[in-house]
Amino acid sequence: MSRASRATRVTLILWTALTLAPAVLGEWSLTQLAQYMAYGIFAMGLAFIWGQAGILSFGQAIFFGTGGYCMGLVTLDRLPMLGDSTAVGLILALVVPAIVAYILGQLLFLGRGLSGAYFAIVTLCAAVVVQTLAEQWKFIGGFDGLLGIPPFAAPWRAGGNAYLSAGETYYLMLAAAALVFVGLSWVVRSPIGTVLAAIRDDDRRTAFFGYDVVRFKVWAFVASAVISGAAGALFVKQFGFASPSLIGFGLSTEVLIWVAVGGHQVLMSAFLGALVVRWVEGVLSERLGDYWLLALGVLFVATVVLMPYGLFGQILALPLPRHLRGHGVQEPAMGRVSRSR
Amino acid sequence: MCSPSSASLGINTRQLDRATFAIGAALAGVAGAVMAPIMSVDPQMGVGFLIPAFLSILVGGPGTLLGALTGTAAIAGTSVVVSDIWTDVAAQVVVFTFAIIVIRLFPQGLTGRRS
Repeated sequence: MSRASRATRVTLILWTALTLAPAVLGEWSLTQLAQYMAYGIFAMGLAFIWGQAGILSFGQAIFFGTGGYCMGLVTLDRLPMLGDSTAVGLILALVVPAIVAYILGQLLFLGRGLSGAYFAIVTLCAAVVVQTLAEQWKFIGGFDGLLGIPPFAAPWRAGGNAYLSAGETYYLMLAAAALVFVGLSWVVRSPIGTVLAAIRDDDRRTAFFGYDVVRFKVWAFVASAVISGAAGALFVKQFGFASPSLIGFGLSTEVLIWVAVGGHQVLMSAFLGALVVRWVEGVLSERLGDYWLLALGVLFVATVVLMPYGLFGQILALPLPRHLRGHGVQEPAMGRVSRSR
Repeated sequence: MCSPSSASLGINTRQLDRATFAIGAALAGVAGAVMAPIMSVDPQMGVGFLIPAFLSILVGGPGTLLGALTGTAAIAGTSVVVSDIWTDVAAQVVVFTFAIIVIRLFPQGLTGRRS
């Protein structure tokens, strides 16, 4: 069995396992896993711009938090002209991060744009600035944030339980994650994905070929912001509150760690990285008490040093469609060995 | 850091990397020692200096000591002046925004060559 078809098989098995999880997991574990799915979607957004387009962003939580706050503001009826439905909240959570990312992307990529370490540091600063502003802005709750965000409602059930059960929430999140995975995989396996991979490997050379590198980078950045915003909105509905910690430097670094540990070049690896790391955190904090953070840190360092392609690395790298493969050589879509950025 | 090219000149890049990292850590230690009498010494005392330090180098010009000094003067000066006029929080926002703008407009820093 070639490496590529094994990857497809393992990916399908993993998704099947996730679908069958409610049969084996208790209610609390299911709720936790549903929240981790939101993180997983967030991780896939980062893996898309980092692993595929080569843009290392230390400020992804800006979009996650913005999406969360938008959903919170709408469902708590703080924006009267928009009503208070979850759907409107979700749409706002997609649109606002997109606008922010577009502006930020144009500012940072245009002309003699920023790249590599400079871009990373600037996004880091941007995350800190946004978090500070969020803590000061009374309208969105200041330091405490927005509390009491209602969970997903089940309007088809008159009387009785007005909200989705743990199992139903889980399946909603699973569907969302699957949708994002399929959508991003489609982009990655298309000619657009190939251009992004070329930009990752050498953006000047890609420009010499005649591609508008700035436009591709900006739109990749916007796409990842939209996904992060959606993840934030879905997370906040389950968690019940949105605070500045969701929008700042802390969560931005955390998601980078999840994606680095899982494998930043393959979408499925990043998704699993988020799930696994969060689950391990839960296990370690139970078993080791005060020393769990130390153990986690050692784990991170070991993974990043010993396995630069992440824990799952190339195992889950899906093959490119036939018309995009090199002649006679079967290479996985995102698994290209590239100069580390 | 063009590792393949300098290594092919016979320079032991790995040893140099380690030595440079060690010297940098030593300098950071000296900075911490100097700050110790002025601020509370706890495991988190360095965290607040991380980002301003990065910004100072990038704003001033990476690669030269003059750049580091210029950047530090710019960042620290702005921070102290603004926190005097306004609040500490506003100072942080203003300094970071100013740093982002400078890095964007002058990728080589204030003292670097304008390519």
